[in-house]
Amino acid sequence: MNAGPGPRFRLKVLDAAIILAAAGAFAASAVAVYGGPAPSRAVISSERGEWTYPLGTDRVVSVDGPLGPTLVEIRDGAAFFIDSPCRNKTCLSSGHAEHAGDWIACLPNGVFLRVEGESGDDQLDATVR
Amino acid sequence: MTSSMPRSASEKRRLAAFLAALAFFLSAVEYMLPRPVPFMRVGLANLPILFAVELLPWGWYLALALVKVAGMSLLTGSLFSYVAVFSLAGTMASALVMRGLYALAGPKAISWVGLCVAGAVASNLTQALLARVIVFGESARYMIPAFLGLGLVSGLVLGVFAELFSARSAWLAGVRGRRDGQA
Repeated sequence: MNAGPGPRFRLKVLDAAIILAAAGAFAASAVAVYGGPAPSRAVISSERGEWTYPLGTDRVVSVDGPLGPTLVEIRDGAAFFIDSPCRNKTCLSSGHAEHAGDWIACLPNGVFLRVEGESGDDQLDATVR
Repeated sequence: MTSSMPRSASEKRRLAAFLAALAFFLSAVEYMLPRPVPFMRVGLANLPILFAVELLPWGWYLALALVKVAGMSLLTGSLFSYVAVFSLAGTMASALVMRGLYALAGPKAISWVGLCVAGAVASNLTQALLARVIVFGESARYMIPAFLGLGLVSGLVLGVFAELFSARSAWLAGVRGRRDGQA
């Protein structure tokens, strides 16, 4: 009977290939998402559309989802959820999104907040896509 | 990791029931653990599925994965929401990838660590893809780095734990021993 390789087990060829492939995919996707220009706007999307707000202007935004309104606050260059009708409130404990590529999602209410880098329309007060 | 399948139908049934109960229990433990990052799960409840890769035949194996999803959804109160669809898709993707890799490569070419990482990454990518299709649209691509990173880390942690457990577990040695005795 073989009870396994024991505490001194060694990675096998396929283990190493899988770990390297996963690490490579992580690095490539991180560069693609986080490697953009400096953060300047919050993009909030739900089933009803997508809205863009500059991070430099403090405000509270209400976004309707299937469960009800989710409240997002933009303050001091960061965006975060302050209220949500979802059950577990995971989105409220997600912290602040302040760097390009940061995101916060509320799966039950279908609301997604992400921070993007500079673009030509950043001088606008808010835009709808 | 070795290749081990119980021979008798009653033994397969008992083992599947035990692993399902274990998955339910570990789901409860995982639900109580604080998460440093939302969406981050160590994947404790996947351990019975991981060991079932070598212990159960395909039918019982897939049934175990379904029971694990049902148990976790009951515990989190998400059984009748589309959150359960994400859990189902992620768990089935992980189970199929782990079992497929084991069947193709065999225990001599891959360890629990490789299976765990592949399963965790498959689960997380499937859920990110589902999030893109069903809920968040194009925005879901922002989730991919975090999901890949969390899958890699949790897969490594769980895989190393599985290797250590496998080397020391009297229960697992007993299941394998009964198999060897019957063969």
